[in-house]
Amino acid sequence: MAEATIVQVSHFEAVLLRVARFMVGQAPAEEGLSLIRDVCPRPACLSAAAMALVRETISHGCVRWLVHAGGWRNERFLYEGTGRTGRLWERHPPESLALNFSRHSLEMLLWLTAHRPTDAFRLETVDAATVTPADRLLFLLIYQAVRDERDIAQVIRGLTGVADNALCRLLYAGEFAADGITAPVDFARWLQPDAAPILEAMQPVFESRWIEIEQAKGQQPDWMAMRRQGEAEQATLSAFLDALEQGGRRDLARFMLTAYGRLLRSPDISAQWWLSELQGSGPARLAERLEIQRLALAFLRQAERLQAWERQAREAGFFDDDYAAGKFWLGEWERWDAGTMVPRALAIVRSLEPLRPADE
Amino acid sequence: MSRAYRITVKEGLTRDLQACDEICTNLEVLQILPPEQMADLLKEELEKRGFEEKDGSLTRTANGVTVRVDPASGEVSVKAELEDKVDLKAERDDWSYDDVGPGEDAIRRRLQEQIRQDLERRAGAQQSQLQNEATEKLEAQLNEVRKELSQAVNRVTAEALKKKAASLGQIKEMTEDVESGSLTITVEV
Repeated sequence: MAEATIVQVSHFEAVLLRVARFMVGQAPAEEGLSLIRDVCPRPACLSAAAMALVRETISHGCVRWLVHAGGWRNERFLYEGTGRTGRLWERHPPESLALNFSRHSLEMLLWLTAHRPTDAFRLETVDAATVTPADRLLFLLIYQAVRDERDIAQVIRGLTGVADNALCRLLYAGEFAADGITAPVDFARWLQPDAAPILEAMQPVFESRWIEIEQAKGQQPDWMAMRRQGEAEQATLSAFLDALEQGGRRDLARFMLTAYGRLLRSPDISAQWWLSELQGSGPARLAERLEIQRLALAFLRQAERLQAWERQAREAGFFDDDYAAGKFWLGEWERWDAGTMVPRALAIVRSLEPLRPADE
Repeated sequence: MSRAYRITVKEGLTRDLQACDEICTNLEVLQILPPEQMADLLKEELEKRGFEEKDGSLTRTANGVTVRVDPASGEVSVKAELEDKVDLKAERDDWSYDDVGPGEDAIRRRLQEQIRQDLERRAGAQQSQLQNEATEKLEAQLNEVRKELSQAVNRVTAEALKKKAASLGQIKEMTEDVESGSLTITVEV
């Protein structure tokens, strides 16, 4: 039996590898956070062995994360316009599942290792033309790893590559909005063959996160914070659904149907569940109070679009190009009881309208 | 021996105040007939209720609240507007050892600034009060407007159903209970 090769790395490279492992969830948070809060002077260059280990760590770590997130599930998604069933690696050819990291990933890890994020030295701007979906996935994992450290999280949110990261904004729109980060993000890029599998694997992550977001709204006492969050969510979800519609990947909105199913299980649920903690009488003008209440239901308001997709799918003829995709959407609609949940969501949205019919 | 002089400053503030509050929403009108016909039916019904056409919309003002409906799109706005005028005066005085000169000027300027701030604060309080009144007026009217528009939409829906039924065949029987809002039409096709 061949002996395992022991690779020698420098002190800095060892710290870099520990930071990388922490970011992909392979090291304890206490250790990782203390390394990030420390400073380790960066050498002029890294050894080839260290570079290979870093690449291996983030590649394996991201793949492991995606598999755990939902890639392992035997699921149905659209592939080239028709439904395909299987685990993530059974639905897609291997070449489209490769995670290609650019230098931006390494630069981010080097910066986190060499500097304290809260210090003045800032990471260079990420070039949107060369940053890859794999880089953006790693940046999401980095943000998630440090999210509970408020000072570090705020710095990370402001970095290019994170601020304009569609995954981060779809999961944490409110947190970015609190920092004034509301510029539009490009969701269309995520429908390309090298990125769409990531969205497929992350469906359970999106579902859980949006349920968490909606549950937290019931504890939000600040009207202005609710407004900022609602505006950001409305803009982000609207842009996301626009991209899915134009890109023929409505199946990637499945997490919204499953989230509605869990949130709206009780027929007695009302808008008060979202609005009960808004303190005092709020802004002086009724117009502003009503607008903020409407924005608080930004996630439920998207149900109108999903219902329109269902209508379009039912009306599609079998000669239409998107007939198969429409049938797929109808299958999802029935599978997740959207015929019950979506009207329930829309009824809650309508209940806020001051001029709703008198018998409602 | 130095003397103390009393310096008195008087200022006034006159301002027109305006406050308004408005909600905008959409009427849910079932498209039983083509949109233009539904819009005409809605227009007729609202005109019976005292609405007047203005720039393509139907408007009615009562008790300081204006309701505007676009029959084509179903957009509704309900707006309360109030106006008021404030005429505030204030006076402050202080003591100086100089009746003229830089010491007296400084005290006069300080007193003027204090009075202006006080007048602005009082005007601001009046503006807030006026805004609260506008919002209360809007809230007080909303329920009545809601009931009335709901009745109007029900009438429009009933009329549209009658026209639709007539276009399908011969109406054999029609029973309408205006109080409960039920309508039964028997059509021979």
